[in-house]
Amino acid sequence: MKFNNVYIEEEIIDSLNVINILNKISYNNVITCEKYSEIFNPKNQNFRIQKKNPDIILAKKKNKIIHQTPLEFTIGFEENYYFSHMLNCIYDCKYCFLQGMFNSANYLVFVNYQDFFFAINEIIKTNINKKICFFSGYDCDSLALDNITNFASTFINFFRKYDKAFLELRTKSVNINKLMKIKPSNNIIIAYSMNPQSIIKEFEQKTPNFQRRLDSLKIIQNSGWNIGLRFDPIFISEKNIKDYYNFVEKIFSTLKGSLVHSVTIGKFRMSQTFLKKINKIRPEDTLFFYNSIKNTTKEEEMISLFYTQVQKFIDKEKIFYN
Amino acid sequence: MIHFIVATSSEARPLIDFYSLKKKTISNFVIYNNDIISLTISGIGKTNAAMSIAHTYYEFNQQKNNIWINFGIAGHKDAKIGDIFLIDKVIDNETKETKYPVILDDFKIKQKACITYGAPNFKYTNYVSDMEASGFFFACEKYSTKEFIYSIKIISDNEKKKLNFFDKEIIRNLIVPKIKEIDMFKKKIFSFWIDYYGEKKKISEKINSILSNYNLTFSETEEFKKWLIIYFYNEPRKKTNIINLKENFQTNIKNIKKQLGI
Repeated sequence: MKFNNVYIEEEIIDSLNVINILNKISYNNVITCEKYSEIFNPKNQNFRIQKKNPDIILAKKKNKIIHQTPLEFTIGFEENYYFSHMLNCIYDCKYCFLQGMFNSANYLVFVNYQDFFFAINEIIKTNINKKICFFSGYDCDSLALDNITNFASTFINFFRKYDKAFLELRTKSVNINKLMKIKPSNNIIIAYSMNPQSIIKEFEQKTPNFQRRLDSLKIIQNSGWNIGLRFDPIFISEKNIKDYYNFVEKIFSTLKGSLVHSVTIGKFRMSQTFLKKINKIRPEDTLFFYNSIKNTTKEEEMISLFYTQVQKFIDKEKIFYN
Repeated sequence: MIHFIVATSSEARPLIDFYSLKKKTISNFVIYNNDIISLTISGIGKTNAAMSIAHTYYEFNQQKNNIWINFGIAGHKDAKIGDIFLIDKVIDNETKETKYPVILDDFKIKQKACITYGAPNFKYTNYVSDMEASGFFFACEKYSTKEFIYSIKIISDNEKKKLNFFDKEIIRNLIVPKIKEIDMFKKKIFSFWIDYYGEKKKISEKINSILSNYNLTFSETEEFKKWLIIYFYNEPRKKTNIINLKENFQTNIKNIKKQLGI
């Protein structure tokens, strides 16, 4: 992967993870900085313009490494947390909230994995008898840059020693070669965001197509890993409900439904603050966002039909509507 | 539009000639321009640079998000006289405030960090040393998005050699060989600008022109603007102008919704 500029916080410039990452990428310039926020946070930046050719920032995550998930979000665990070793994503989904949340489209990678481990371990220690799930993939794709960050294998190996603490790696990436080289662990869930090809073509720019994601899921499942299916966000309507039905059938005729860890279904949602910012930088999509955030009874009805369809292939207890 | 900010007339002259710019006004600052480029001679120093930017912004109709390029000569410890650099980090020597220009692509001009001094500095370091860049970035960021603000420097002095800054011919001979590189940079950044803002600016002008016919409250303006944006980005290929300035804004919104089947 090639970058024009690599920004590195002075404090970590000699750290092993930084050296490893620099060895795996090609770049023209290294620019040092005191804090990543000097580059990532200033307001008068345009996410859309930067998205064409992002740079990479290597930094140390300091505060609030682990967050609690919103209460309504669960895949059946008692406690739910999320963390992000990276902010931003190589894909360019039209509906992505990151473009409303961040000022910069540069890839910000936190390299101090040991501090993440410490923070995760602290939470596990205080919830000793509870089943906890840690989610990765809210603010980035968990596998897309794995060849550079070595994130997945490092964190999987860390979680391997726990029984009750689970890790979900959420992704759209088919970059699974490294994953295939490591021994599966029962407490890891590789969860794919899935949509029919027509939706991927329209809304999920630069992502692997449906068939490639499904092929990867099959390989992962056959290798002994837990897999999850994330139909979130779905863009279902009367016009495309048949596409969604065919899509579900295709998935469950390829995968072993009984071995799927969990399925989540969620509609498109976006905070007003993010929406306002996104409409400003991509005004050409104002109509799409206007139509997508309307809560109509018709949409609820379609989602309910989709839910029923999914139930034909997988136990109700494994399906979560977020 | 592309605005060049240059400290002295001898640094500016090769650009003025290359782009065939004509003198616009002689007020507080001398400005040259053509249809798409302006060049302001700011005078030496970061305060002058900042003031010239504000002046240029108002002189050219207060257009936000234009391209701003600071160009000039600078010193460096061991870079060769005549080397050209795109600045990727600017430290103000007095305040220590640091800015990181957003560099959109590999522009095929070597990058370096720069320290802006309040007075001529001949204690050379690995940083490019100049007297304008920090003031330039500070002011430009009020008027444009970071992706379109750049500083380009040509080395005029180092530990071993110092050109006579007051000799116009020497400065011209230093800059002219690099004009094509500067022009390539300008073309590339302008293509990025057109790519993102070209259509948006046209639509924005249409919308502002429509809104200027109405006397609306802030929230009414926001609502009407939202629907005008939706309309102009989704208007059918066979254009039938459904915006009727004789109708009130609610009726126009209604017509837009009807036209788009919402």
